[in-house]
Amino acid sequence: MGDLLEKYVIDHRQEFDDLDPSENLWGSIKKNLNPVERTGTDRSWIWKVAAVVFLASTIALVIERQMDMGTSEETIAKQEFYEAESYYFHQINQKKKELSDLGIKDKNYDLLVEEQYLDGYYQELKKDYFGKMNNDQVKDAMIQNLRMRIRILNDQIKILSESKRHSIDENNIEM
Amino acid sequence: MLNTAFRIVGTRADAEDVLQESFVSAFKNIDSYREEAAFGAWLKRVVVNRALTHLRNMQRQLFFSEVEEEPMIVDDDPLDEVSMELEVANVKEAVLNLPDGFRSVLTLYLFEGYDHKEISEILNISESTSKTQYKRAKDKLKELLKSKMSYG
Repeated sequence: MGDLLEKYVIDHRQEFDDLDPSENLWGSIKKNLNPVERTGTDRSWIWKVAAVVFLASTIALVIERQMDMGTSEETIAKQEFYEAESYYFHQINQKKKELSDLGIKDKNYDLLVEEQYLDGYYQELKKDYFGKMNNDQVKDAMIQNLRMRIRILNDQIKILSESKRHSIDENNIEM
Repeated sequence: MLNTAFRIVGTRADAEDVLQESFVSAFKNIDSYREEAAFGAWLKRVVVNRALTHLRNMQRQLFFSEVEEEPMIVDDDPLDEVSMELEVANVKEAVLNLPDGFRSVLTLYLFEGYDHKEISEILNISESTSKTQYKRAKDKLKELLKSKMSYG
């Protein structure tokens, strides 16, 4: 026997679904879904923090490395300077010793003045070089200063050597 | 979906609550959706489960007898005489007047199109219990309709 009730329901199935959701139902659903959205934001917030931390540590490492490099470059430059200074002073002292060996008891007045002037100028340059004006121009000026002193001493040695030879020659002629 | 929930829980306000909870739960647990089933079917199942949970939370125990009782002696289909007088509104009202256990099984089978195997899984009962329960629910519905038509 066919079931008339079942048949009736099947035939009129759509008519049984006559309820429509109230207008505020979707609003309530949407409101309750907000925490899900916030969870999503929270996740991206974690990623943002991770990105910032990564970026900050990278920048810190780069700066630290550059500072190290800067320090080491400065140290190397100073070391080179002291080596050059030591070399030139050694040369100067050697020239002075040569002059002394030539039997010069009293230094030439002009030479003395010039040496004092050059030395004073050199000290000023050195102060600048280790102060604010730490550049190659100051360094070059200092080297020039030292070379000039050597050249003057060389010239003086040359003059004195020749002068001494002349006096020896004259003595020989007299004899 | 609202109509499905309404037929199970019995009131519009509860049905809207169920629908709201179901949609929020579905969107939050969208990861558990397997594409082997249509999305609509999956969502409907979420609504059905929520509606049944709602009924249980209302402390209205669904009673499903596992014992085969004597079949009701029905000589003829009680609706045979009045079938032509059926009206949607009357059937809806009668469905709402069914006990919760009857209404759940009848709704799932007759209105939502689940078979007895699926209903046994949804309600955690045996398939035979689902069949028996449906038969009783349908007979009860017919009685209610007949009574309505006789006295209404």
